Amino acid sequence: MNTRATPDTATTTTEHKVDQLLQQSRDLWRGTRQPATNDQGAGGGQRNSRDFFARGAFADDLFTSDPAPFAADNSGEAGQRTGHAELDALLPWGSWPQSGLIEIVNKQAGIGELQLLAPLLRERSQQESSILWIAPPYPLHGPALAQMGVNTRNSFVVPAQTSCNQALWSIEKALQSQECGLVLAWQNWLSARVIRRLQLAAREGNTLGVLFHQRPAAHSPSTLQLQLSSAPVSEAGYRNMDVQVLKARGSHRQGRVRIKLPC
Amino acid sequence: MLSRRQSQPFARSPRVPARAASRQSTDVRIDDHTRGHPATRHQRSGLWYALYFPALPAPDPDAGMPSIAAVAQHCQHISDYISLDGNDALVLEVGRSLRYFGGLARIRQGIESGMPAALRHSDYVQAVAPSASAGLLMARSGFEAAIRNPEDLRSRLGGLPVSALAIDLRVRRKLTKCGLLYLRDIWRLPLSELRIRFGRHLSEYIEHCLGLRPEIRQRWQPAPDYRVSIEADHGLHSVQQILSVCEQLLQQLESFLKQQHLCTDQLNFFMDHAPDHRETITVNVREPDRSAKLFLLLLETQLSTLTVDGEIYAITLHVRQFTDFKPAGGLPQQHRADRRQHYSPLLDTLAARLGSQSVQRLRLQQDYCPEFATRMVPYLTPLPEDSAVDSSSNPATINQHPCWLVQPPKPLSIRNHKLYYLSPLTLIRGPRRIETRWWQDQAIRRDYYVATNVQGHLLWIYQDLAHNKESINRQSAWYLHGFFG
Repeated sequence: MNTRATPDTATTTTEHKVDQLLQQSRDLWRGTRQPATNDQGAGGGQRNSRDFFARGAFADDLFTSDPAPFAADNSGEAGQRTGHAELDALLPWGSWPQSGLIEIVNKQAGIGELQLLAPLLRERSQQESSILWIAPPYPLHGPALAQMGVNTRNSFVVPAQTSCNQALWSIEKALQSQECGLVLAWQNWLSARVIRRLQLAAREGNTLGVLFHQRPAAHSPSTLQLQLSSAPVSEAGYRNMDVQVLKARGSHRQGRVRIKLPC
Repeated sequence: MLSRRQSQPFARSPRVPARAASRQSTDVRIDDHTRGHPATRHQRSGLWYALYFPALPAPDPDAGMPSIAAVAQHCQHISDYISLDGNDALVLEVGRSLRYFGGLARIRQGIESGMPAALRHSDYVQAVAPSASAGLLMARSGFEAAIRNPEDLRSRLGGLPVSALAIDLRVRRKLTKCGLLYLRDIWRLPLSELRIRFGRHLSEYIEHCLGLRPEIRQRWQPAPDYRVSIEADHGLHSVQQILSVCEQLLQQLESFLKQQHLCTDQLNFFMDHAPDHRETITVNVREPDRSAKLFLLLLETQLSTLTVDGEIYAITLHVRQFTDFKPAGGLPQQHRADRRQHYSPLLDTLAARLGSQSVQRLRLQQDYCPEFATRMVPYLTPLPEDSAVDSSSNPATINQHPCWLVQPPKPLSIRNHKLYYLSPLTLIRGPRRIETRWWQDQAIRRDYYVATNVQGHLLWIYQDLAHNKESINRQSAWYLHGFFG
């Protein structure tokens, strides 16, 4: 049964574990983004981890504050907002990641995954870098994309007839290149090993890739792993879609939100 | 009126073999006339051979029709001074080639024999005159003749109408209003008066035609054609050996391009296998470049999918498309940085591996019919300027069109009196009528609906009204045409 989990209740257990870990080793995650002088008070530079959780930005502070382990990896940086406040609240960056690999697991194509990505597509298509669509399940309909505000002049397509090997090679090359602002790729299923390789390619090229497939890979090394499922239509003019965060790098939170998409 | 004595018709018979044509009396007379006189002052002043192709369309590389440049290319072996006049006429200086070719008739044979086949059988007009402007004037007005002496120009051209002159339309009308209908009417007027009344351009044009004023025409320059071959002492077996040879060719090309200040966007490699067997590899780049390193990378990507049968004993690099090199220094500072940052040969690399047809882009067209509104074209195809973003879009608005199009439309089944796609469908919006192409046999008349199913799909379906009556099976009247992804 689909239930909406609030971030506070969902992260209680995780919060407790992280708090314990922080108390055991204070220098494990050292933040450089210090709070304002007034907030430091007598504690000086010592930060209370509960303050971070209360602000709902603990992962952002903890993981991006120390750049050494993530040199040349901007996957922890915030990017374009999703357009849905509930989903933004669930994601550790408060938005889509700036770069890295996003896995979107949906058993059937066409249930609203492009509507979900519409703000991201719109933002990335306005930049000089291009958008590459690799093996989309159906032919793209240009007027619909234009109506969504996507600049189709920057969009390039590798058709679905391309073999799996060639498609994977194309995805990797596109993610490694800085020419692409966004890579959208469709595959039926990919192993964690392949996803790791694509994640490394995205990190190398500082590119954002979105991988649509049908089955989630266990222990996926991707930056963000989402599972989409449709929900009954509640209001006229809108359809519902459940988005479950299976994994988000920099956060232990897992949760499910229901978002409304225009139809 | 032309007198019989002055007339020297330059008869053309395109369908008659060249040898037979040379036996015609008219040609013999021209030949004798030309040979009979030693090099005189007039010969040194030049003799111009004009060719006019009335049916030649504007140059279009996709049409496959040879252009006037193809004729000029062929005429290069006859004269080094060729000048184009628009897209349908050219003129070449043949005065200095007469002795070498042995007369005007031989020159005409040479021109006709090597002309592109598509043009050889079309109607064209040729004329010879002591001045280029006169030759073109005669050819464009359909007056096929060979005039040898400048003194004959007045009498021979006098019968041509004023409307044939290559001058401004207003000046032509003015001449007609003044009662000057033929060139012989103009000859009667002094040039100085003509200049005052009708302008400098007309008087200079007349002087050019009559050979009274030297005329400087722009020379046609053939497009550069780069072709270099390397023959291997021993057959090349592996990709590495082939790449090694190609690297030498590309470095030579890079030097050539740097010397000529050019760059290119297409390279052709011809690899000779066995006798009479040749493999062609085309390397395309999105932006013209001259870097041997880039071309080698793309070639290597392309060769990785190629299976070499047998030994390769010769490799030829052929480049025909050149553009002027534009260094980044010519751009403003901010664009310079952008260019360095954003340009990378990703799409070219993908195309080298997958084939240029497998990397596509969307070309939007104004068409009511959804399946014709988007055309997938190769990524190298330039897009028209008007296919821009719909700036009035609003993410909150309801989409009229689906992001995915099912092509061809998939027939929907009906179960228990309900439309069915994976589960029974519920119509939530519609109908929206699309009716177009009624002027064709395949008229389109559809009622579109938005439907949903239990799986959460938002479908774009339609009822085909144009073929509904003809259809025996009612089920085939409903089709799935898209997904609101």
